Order: sequence, then C-alpha cells, then structure tokens
Amino acid sequence: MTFLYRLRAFVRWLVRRDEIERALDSDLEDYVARSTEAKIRDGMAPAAARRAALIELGGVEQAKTRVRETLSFQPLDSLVRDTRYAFRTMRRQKTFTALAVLCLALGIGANTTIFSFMDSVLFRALPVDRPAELVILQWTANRPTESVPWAMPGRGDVVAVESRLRSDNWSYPVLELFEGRRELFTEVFGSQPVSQLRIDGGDGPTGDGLYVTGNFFRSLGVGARAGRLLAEDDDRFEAPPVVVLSSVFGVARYGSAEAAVGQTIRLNDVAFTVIGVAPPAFFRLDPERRPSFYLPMRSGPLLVAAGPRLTLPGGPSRFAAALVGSTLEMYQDPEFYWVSAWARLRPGVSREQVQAALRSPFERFFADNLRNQASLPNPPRLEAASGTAGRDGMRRNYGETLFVLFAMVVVILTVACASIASLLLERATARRREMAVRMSLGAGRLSVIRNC
Amino acid sequence: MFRKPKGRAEDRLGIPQGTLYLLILTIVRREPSHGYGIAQRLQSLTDGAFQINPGSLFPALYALERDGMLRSVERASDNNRRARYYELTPRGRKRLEQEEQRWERVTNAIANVLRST
Repeated sequence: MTFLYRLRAFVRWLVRRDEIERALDSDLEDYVARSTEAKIRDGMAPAAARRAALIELGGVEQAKTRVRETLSFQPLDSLVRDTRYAFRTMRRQKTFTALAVLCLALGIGANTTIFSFMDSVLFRALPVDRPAELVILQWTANRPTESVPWAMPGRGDVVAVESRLRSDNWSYPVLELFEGRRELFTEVFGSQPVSQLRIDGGDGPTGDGLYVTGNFFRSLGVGARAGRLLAEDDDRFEAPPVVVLSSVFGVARYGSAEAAVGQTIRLNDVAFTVIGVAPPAFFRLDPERRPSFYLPMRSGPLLVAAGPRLTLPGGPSRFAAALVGSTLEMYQDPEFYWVSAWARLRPGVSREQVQAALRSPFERFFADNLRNQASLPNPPRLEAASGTAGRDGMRRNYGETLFVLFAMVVVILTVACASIASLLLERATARRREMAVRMSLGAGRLSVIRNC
Repeated sequence: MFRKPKGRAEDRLGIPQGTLYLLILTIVRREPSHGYGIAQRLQSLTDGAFQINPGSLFPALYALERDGMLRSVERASDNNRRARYYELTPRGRKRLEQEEQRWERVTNAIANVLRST
C-alpha cells in the first residue's frame, strides 16, 4: 500500500516536478517570512531577523535537496546504489567474477545455439510468400520396397517411418498429373537436389545444386536479390543453359550479387550464364540442403552428358542414380521416381480435400503404368503434408535428438546456476562476520541480502 | 514503522529518533497548520525542549505527504498571505492511532522497568 503511494508520488515527482518545486519554494519562503516576523516582534532589526531566520532554516538549498531525496523513489535509488556496489565488488574479486561469467556464458551460449538451431529446423516457417498454403505431396507404402520394382530405379529420398516407407519423390508424369488439377492448386512445382557439380571443370571444387521447375521461384513468391530468377521459358530442353546462384555463393565468388549477374560459370564443363542471385534469406526448402546453384529442371541431360568422368566412391549413391539417370527418358518414365513435388493450395482448399481428390486418380495412373504387376497389392498411398516449415527431412531425422539435446542443455544451464549459487554461498559464509556487524548496526535484512 | 528521511539524523535538538513523524501527525490532527506553525507548536508544547530544525521538518512533511498521511492545501492565512496548510488524511489518522497505541505500550513498558529498580 505504502509502496503504491510512493510510486504515485514518484510519478508525480517525475511528471509535475515544476509544481512541486513551486510548492516547496513557497513553503520555505513562508517559513522564513513568518520566522522573520516573529523575530522582529521580539525586537530584532529586520535585516538581522531575516538573516537569523535563514540560518535557522539551515540553508534553503540543503533543505530542498533533502526534500527532493525524499520524493525521488527510494527503491530505485537503492537499486542504483546496489548496482554500483555490485560492480565495485566484481572489480575487486576478479577470479570470482570470471568464473561466474564463464559459467553463465557457457550455459546461455549453449542454450541459445541449440534453441536457434531448433527454431530454424523445427518451428520456423519458410521465408517465402504465404508459407501456410504450401503442401508437400508425398506417398507412403508398406515395406519392403526392395521387392517393389516401381520404386527401384530412382528411389530418391525414401525414408522408413515405422513399418511404412515414405517419400516425396514422384515420376515426372505424375508431377504433370498433379499440374493438371488447377481446381486444387494454383501452382505445382518440383525440385531435385544434385550434388558434386564440378565448378570450373577439372578436379577443382564441387558444389551442390537444385534442379527446379520453371515456376519454382514464382510459386514460392520469392524475388531476386539481383538479376532475375528462373522462369518457365528457361526450363526447356533447347533453352540456353542458365543458372541462379545462392546469395552466399554469388557474393563469395563475385564479390557482390550485382557483379555475379551476366557472368559465365562452368558446371561439369557446361558453360552456364548467371542470370540472377536468390535472396539471402531464401536458401532452402529442406533445412538439410543449402544448394549453391538453382538449375532449370531440364538442364539435367546437359550436365550428365558433360559429366562422364564422374566417379563415385562406394558405388552409385542415390544422387548418382538421379544424376546418371538424367536423360531425356526420365522426364517421361512413369515409374522412375525422382522429383520432389510441392504445390500451392488454391485458397479455401484443404490438404484433406487434396488427398481425397488425388488418391484415386494417382492409384489408377499407378496401376495403368505398372510394368511389374507383382507390386499391385502394395500400391503407394498419396498424402498431402504441410509445407509451411519446409521439407521435414531434418525434422524426421533429428527432431527427437534435438529435443534430447535441448533438455541436456537446459540441465547444463541449471548446473551452471547451481555452481554459481554454491560460489555465492561460499563467499557469503566467508563474509558472515561482516554481515553480522551490519545487521547489528541496523541494516535491513533485505539490504544485506542484496549486497551479498 | 515510519521511515526516516534520508540524510542527517533529525534529532540534533533532542527529538528521539523515529518520533518526529508521530509528533507532526499529532500536531496537525488538532488543526491543519503550515510549516512554521507546526514548528512553533512543537516548541511551545514541549516548553522549548524540542526544537525542530526546518531542514528536517520539510523533508518529514513531504515524506508524510508522499506516503498519503498528509495532504496540503493552499489557503489564505493571517495578514493577507497565502500558505500551504498540512492536514491529516484518513489514512494518516488511522496510522496515527496505531502509532499512539504503540507508543503508549512502549512508554508504559519502559516506565514499568524504570519504576521496578
């Protein structure tokens, strides 16, 4: 209650200080005047009386200062003093301070790192236009796939989820099947990662790229940082080879995004013209990959034709399969699953509606094009997953691990706090005598605690 | 119970620590008064034993006003001057009653001890 009165008085002191100062002036003047009058009545000379009255007051300014001290907020004032005291103590006890700072820095640093990592992997929406509208089209099928021939040639990213297999890779004709459903989607776009593109030819550095359909950037609503981004006209087999660089790569290689535009860069001995640089915030749909190059989907055959020297340790990987298989046929083979399919929902359409509308057309397409009828009893089942936070490759692989890591880091911070607490306790024990003296001299308990 | 204003002790002229507020509240309960009036009244009531230094009186008055025990009103006084008069608020009155009881208990206790020896 008293606290509230004081707070109110302090606010008044801050806001209406002039008024209070005037009141104080008039109070003191009135006092001096009355005191002077009384002294004159007692027989003093007017000048001497006034002088005596002023002396009695003990100095106008001193009196005012003490009133001001009364009105300024005591807790705030003591906070300032305690803070100054704390800094003084820290300067005096350098080892202790260093230890405490180290404990806290490690604890906080580890927490921040893990949390920002978790944030980008697990929680953050994609840095694109209206990410909530994005869906990832994927399928699940019963295990085992080793005996499922349709998935064999380019299995792409197939992951095992409990007893089922899951993937967002489709054959190109299926992607076109999705594209035909304009009542569900405003855009359907595809991408496929490609790794180890040889930059500048020879045995020099390699970089990772992403094949994207011509409408990829438009669908995501991403604008270029410099130059222009890929458009549908670039995604033709006979189109001149062009590439969009990631911001990081473009700046690292050419100094600035603007300088990169118009340059020629050789990838797998094919000369690509740099037409633009992607914005810095945009580097992924999949938090696992940060491609340096965005290539038109149909530039694949060009790169493969120029890359016969590609050797792959440990046999053909899934990337190699996609790369080596990047011939013209893979854009027509209904059973060659290699391209990730994404779509932007038409407003008002839900993912459930998409699933309901697409499942049976896809199953019909699948059955019609099946070369090996043995896998008919185990058809893949279409699902539409949310693409808001990007492809969940990392999430499904590391989600749990990250939570465990986070829990561990929280424990670490707790340990850090505990060690500081024990350090403080030890110091407090050493200062018992000092505290006893202060208490016996009348220091408030709270102020002793604050200063320990 | 009452908080001293910060700085020098106000008992330079013999007022026991912590009782200044009690005395001020008692004086203004009888009738609202201005600063000089309060000082004079205190002096005359104690036959000059307590002289209050204005450098202590005003901080005390402002502290009491700050804590809602007193409020000040400007009004005309004798010989055509205006002055700020301090008067007790209900909160101040309540607090004063509590303090009086406490004071009585304390002085009785001390008196009993003094008499017993």
